[in-house]
Amino acid sequence: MSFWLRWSWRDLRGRLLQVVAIAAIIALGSGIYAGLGSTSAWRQQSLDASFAGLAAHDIEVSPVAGFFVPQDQLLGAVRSAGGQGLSTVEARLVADLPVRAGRGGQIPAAGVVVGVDLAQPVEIDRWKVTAGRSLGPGDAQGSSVLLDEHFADAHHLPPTGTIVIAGTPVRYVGTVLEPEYLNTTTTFGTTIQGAATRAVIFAPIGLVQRLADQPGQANDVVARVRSGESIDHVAATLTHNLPITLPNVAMTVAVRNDDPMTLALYDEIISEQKIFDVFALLILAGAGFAAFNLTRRVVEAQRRDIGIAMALGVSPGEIAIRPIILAAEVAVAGVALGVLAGWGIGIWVLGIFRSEVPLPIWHTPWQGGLFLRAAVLGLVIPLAGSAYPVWRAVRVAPTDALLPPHLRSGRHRGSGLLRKLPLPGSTMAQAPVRRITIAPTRSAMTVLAIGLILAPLLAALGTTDSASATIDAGTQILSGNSADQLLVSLTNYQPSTAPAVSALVDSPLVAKYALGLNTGGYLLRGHTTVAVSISMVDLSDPLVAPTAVARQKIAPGGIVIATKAAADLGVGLGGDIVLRHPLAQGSGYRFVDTVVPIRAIVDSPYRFVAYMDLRDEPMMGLSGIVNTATLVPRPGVSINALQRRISLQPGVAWALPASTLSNTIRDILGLVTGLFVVLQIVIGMLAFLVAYNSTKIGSDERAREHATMMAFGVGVPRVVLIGVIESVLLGVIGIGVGLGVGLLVLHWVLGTVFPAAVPELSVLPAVAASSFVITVVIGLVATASAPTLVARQLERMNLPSTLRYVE
Amino acid sequence: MAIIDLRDVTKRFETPAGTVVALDRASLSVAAAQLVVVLGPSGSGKTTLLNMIGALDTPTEGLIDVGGKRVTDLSRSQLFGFRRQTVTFIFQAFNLFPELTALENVRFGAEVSGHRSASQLAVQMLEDVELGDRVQHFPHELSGGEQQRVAIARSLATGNPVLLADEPTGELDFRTGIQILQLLRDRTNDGKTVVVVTHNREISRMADLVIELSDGHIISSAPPSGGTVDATELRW
Repeated sequence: MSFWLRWSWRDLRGRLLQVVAIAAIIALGSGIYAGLGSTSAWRQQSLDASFAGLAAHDIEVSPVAGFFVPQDQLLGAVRSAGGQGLSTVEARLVADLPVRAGRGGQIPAAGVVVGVDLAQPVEIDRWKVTAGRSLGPGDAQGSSVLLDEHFADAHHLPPTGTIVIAGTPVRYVGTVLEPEYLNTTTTFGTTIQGAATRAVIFAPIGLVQRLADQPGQANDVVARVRSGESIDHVAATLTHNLPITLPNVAMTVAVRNDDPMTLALYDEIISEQKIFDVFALLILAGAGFAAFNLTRRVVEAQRRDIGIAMALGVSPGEIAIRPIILAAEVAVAGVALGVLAGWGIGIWVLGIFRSEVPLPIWHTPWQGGLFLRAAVLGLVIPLAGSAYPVWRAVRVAPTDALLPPHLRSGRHRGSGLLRKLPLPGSTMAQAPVRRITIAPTRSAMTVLAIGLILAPLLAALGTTDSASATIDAGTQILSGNSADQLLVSLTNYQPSTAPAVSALVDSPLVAKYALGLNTGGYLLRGHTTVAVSISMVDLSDPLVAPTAVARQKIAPGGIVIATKAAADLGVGLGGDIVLRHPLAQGSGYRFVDTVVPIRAIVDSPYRFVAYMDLRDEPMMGLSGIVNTATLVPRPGVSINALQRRISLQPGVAWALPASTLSNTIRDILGLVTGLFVVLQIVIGMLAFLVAYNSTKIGSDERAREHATMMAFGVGVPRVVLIGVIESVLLGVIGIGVGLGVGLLVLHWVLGTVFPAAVPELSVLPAVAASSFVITVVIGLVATASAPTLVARQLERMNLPSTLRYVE
Repeated sequence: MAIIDLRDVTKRFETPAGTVVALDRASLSVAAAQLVVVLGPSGSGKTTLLNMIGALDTPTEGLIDVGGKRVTDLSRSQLFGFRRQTVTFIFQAFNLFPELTALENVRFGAEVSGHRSASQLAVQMLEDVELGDRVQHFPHELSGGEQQRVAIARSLATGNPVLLADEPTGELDFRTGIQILQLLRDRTNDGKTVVVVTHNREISRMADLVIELSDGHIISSAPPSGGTVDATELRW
């Protein structure tokens, strides 16, 4: 055994660079799997730690939107209803108010101003200060506020400054993260808001009461349950007792663990991980194939030694030891480098997450199990890769194995084709094509290796493009084909004739307007439930209804749903569906089920989009009530000027141009885009390593050809150029394969992985020209540059000994 | 005037075991259109000598002139040009390009040296070496003798005045070997200078000049003692 080990050690020294390069391919493949996987665990653990570390509330109690209760009465009622089950209770006033930030107030946003009682230390939903300072008891009567880090970061705002809330300038003294507002994405009607458009502000409750014109009032209570008590049991007790302790006000009791916004944070991690797993495994598969192909060629180069051993009577088992040791060396080196690569990629990706989805607390423990799985894959792939060529090598006739490589059977399968192939140019100009054609199997394997490496890149870029195209399509429908609209949300339900509404629609700056009512609901069919955001508007008005729907002059008494919702529910146009919707009752509401016909299906990629006619309001127990307005400025009035004016109107929660909201989703996509940059770089490196290895092995195999060329006076640059052209030709075919396979993978990801991971979205397949260009350029640069690295080897070649070597 | 002229050429190799002197102050002069046979046992320095003449290797000391060019003064890029225009090689292992047919291998030689009608010249060269019916065959489809004849045709297609052949018959049977040697001899009639390195003393009988090496020293440089004979008279 020591004899074989010694021999293998010499093999290793002779092929050190190739072993390291193949190991690097394995390492990058397994590293991206371990690295991306680690971040998922880190994010989940960090979320848990953030909620625990900042004492996130267990239960939130609030009256129906638009209702307020005196602060002390609300607090007392909740304390009394919760009894011994509650340990801490804090009252708040949460007001939707228009905000302007930045220099000169140029950044409009939908403000969520959270008034906190600072007279006592804040013990629930505490802040993690990211810059500036926090608020304390000394600020209880003041007008200093804190700004949510997400909004500040999205607009690169300084740690302290001035912000305008409902027309009143206030000073923010720091930026913070708070557990209740870690999820920045919300939907309102058919609009979506994110970090850039929603400004969460934490302020003394007295200040918010003044700004919202609700002196002494509160509308939100957060509570923590006593240790050992069941949260669900305490919530049930509150639900039961609140009508007694606080009669005449409909209250909602929400458990944080069941809160859709909280669940969405965890769901997002799981769904993103599913998508990244697919890409990591695709890259790993491509790397595995490349390693198999290269190991095969290295073993092939040992065929003559194998033939000699066979001729000397060495058993196949013993013959297999040497190449298998080589594969084991690749495997061990691959695993060692893979751990490093996984660690590096993990840190890199974590940096992107820290920047794109900041959390108050980050926990990044070593993911041993995941790295172990990656290590096992890293060990198995090269060993499996060498098994077939070794098995094949020990099965050939010794006479064939003993022949010099260029005389072995099966080495010139393409010679017949080459004879018939009319090629222009000199023999040296033809050389690249001839080299590719003469050994079609070898060329095909290299092409496949490059193709399989590039395919995930195109698929990844295509995924981003598809998401972007989906947003564009969705935005076009949501914004009524016009970006020149101002979307206005009112602080609460208002009669359409109310002064606050009249002030909007009668504004001299407004040319056209449409009023509406936004509310939530559910579509039910069998065991399938789809949450929808219902926009009740005049369905014949193209300003607010999708153009295709407006044209149909749909009669009231039905619902318009999105294609994705119809597909998921298995319903079609004209069919009936159960709509679970709110029904106003006294000062609150309850949900009821009503069977409604499907009047139209709108081609929106967002499943949550649903429309009803405003005349169907009585179904909700309402009549002539609105909470939204869509305004079009008069000619000559800019959308920004209209926004400035409208956001100062009383009763306006926020007023944002439609284009601002469409940009929100693009910001959300920033994270995915950042992660795909990591994929691009890793794939570029893999493509280069594959091309380099292929060139290096090819160069070793062709050492005598190159030496002969140089003996005939062909210079090194020309020899390298032949290699570059050959590599680029293989690269071009490989790129073609990569594009084809990439499109198939994209089709599969969008058709299978996405619907399972993100059911709310119907992603439209699209690949931008720039994505094709990036894939092609990475493929070409990698394949063209790799052969230039063997130039030094050619310069140093010992021509006499290479030429004289007799097979 | 001599086409090959070596003066006090020494080649030393540094090895872990010490310095090896492959060629020690070798001097010789070869006239044009001669068939020169370099004889000597293994390790005597005959291949090193050939490599020096062909500019595949550079001497540690001494001067080399070939075809009127001072090889030892040429730069690296000039040496490539020298090999394209002045010398050409025939190898024991043939060293044909496996992905090129016989015709294309020969065309390569013509193209490298800048011949315009390379294809026509290649066909002519293959016919000269009696392989006119094998032009479309790939090397692996040819016998050893045929491959060596293609290699000779490739060298001849360069049109370069000096042919350097390293053990050109080493891989061949007697009959094929004689054919190859006859071909080389015929080239001298066209004005080419042919230098053949071999350890087969019998081949030296057909040379115009026999250079004998031992331990890196030229121990003799003279016509064959029994006079030059035809290739067909050789026996081994």
